[in-house]
Amino acid sequence: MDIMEKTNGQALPEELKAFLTIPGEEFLIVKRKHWFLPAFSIGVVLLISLGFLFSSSFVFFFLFFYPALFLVSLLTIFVIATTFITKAIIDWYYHLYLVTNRKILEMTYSPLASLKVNDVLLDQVRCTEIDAHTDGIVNEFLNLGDVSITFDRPTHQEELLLSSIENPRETSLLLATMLMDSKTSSTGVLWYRNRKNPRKLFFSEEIPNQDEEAERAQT
Amino acid sequence: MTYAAIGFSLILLIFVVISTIYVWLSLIQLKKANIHFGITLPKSIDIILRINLVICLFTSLSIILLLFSLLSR
Repeated sequence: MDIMEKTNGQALPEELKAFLTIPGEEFLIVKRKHWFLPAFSIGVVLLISLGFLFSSSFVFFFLFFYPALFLVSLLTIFVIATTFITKAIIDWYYHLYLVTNRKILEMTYSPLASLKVNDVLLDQVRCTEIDAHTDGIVNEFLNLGDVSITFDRPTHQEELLLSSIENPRETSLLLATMLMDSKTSSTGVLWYRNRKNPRKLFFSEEIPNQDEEAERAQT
Repeated sequence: MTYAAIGFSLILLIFVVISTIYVWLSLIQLKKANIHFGITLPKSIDIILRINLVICLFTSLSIILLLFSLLSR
């Protein structure tokens, strides 16, 4: 619950219970993309609308005097701009990264355009890398960046990208801690180094005794 | 000039009709998404969408009226 609050409470866990499909599953992190992305889209739409507004006022007041057409074009610009702005907000609102104690899930939904639900079951994969990267002055200033999680599947390597999220470094550290905790608690596999011959690595499923280790080193 | 105004109004009408259909279908789809995923859209966005739909319809109507007035000249 503390982690949920760290994500600025952008999505309430009560609303997302439909995504908890495995018994005993709990939310660890729920994130959306940074608010700057829809804000930037809205800014671009507003700038373009202003451009159209000025050009239409110039055409219908100075070139040809046609106030009725100006009014109609003003309404059309307003309607189209509002449609684009609401689309940007809805797309941002329905793009979620959900991390539970059993799976990592990315959900993207754009009405009439796309629906993508990409989930990775943590029981079925081995997490090999969690990297955070931030590029550029603006992203550094806004604390905006990507977190890439690399999974080693039996057949291939797969990367899951939490792109353009807030606090990428904190999130990667949290994820690393959580995934490491879940692995150490669930696995019985152990690698250990021989004291006499440090280049040798033994793979074991049980922690060996010191006597057994000595005997093995002698043989 | 009248023909140019008629052509321009027709282009505007096409844009507004597409926008109206998009907003209307989006509202229907978002209701379904709300039932399916359980994620409710903020009330303010829902209201903005509904107001936008009303303005879309009003704009289409005003463009059609303008077209009639231009054609009757």
